[in-house]
Amino acid sequence: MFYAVTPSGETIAHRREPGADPVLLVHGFGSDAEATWNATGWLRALADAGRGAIVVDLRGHGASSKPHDPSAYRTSVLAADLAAVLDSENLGSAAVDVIGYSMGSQVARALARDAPERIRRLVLGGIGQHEQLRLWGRDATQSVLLDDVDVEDETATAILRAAADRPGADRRALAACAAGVASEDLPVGPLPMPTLIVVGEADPVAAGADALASGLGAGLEVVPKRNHQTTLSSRAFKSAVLDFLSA
Amino acid sequence: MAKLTFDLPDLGEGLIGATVLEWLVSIGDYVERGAPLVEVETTKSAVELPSPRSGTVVEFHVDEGHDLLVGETLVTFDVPDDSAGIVGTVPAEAPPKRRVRLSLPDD
Repeated sequence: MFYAVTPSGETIAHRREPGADPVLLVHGFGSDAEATWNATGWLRALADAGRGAIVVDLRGHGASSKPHDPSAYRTSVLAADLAAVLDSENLGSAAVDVIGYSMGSQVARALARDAPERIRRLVLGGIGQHEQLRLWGRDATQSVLLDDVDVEDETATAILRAAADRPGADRRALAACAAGVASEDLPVGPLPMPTLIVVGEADPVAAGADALASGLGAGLEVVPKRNHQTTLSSRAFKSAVLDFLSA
Repeated sequence: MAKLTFDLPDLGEGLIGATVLEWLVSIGDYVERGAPLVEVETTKSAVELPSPRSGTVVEFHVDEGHDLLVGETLVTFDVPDDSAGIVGTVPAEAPPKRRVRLSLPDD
């Protein structure tokens, strides 16, 4: 694990997997690089395709700094963390392929907004028309994460509880992250780089993915029968992405 | 050739079982150790399990969409006799046709 240092002094943990043309992988809310990209077989699938990877723990998660102030989790800040990681990997001016999942896809969209020249091709997994943390609302995320009180939306409760209950989770950091990410909308206009959206057919978080895809000018791949959790590890997701990245 | 069976490994975090989402190999396939074998879902996450050995897939002991507990038989491989001897667990009889709960969870 290496640590990129941000201008305000936070450390962002990241790791390089060997292979050509490394793909930047951005995990979702309450998870980390290991659970999202290694345990699900993504690093193996990329390695089998000859591709390297750069995996990162987003701030508030894994081995990275965990500030408790929501303003430290604005999407522009999270995107700047990715840029700092790319800088520390000494890739020169080369643009990289980026794969995000769930909140990680929103962070990848923020990087596409703030530094489009850094992204060659973009894959957005597990998102729909509305950012989930914003849709659920600050009251709901703070209720589950800080007060241990479930909310009516079962998907929200399940995802937030899973995040809060993970070993090493910092609930105050997660609550700040949820509030910070939810504080702004990302632009829905055509992206300059080739973009693919991949969602599970049974994923409520991804509702309206077709509208998002047409707004962003992106392709859309729907994985049959899979939900928010099980889309991530599916072979269909991996093969769609590997095809997209090698086209 | 000798038959080797493999159980669902301990997936950590106190998880006692998993649901098979998708077999990533077919009966009769030769699979390298470490290659993707099966995708399973737990209450916490979905994970892809690599093959524990190189060998030919002989039997799946659980169908897609079905559950099994940690320690229950997952798959049977055919491996060359000499490599089977290394781990010393060559069953003499045919693998069981029914799933058997081998051990109770500790809690």
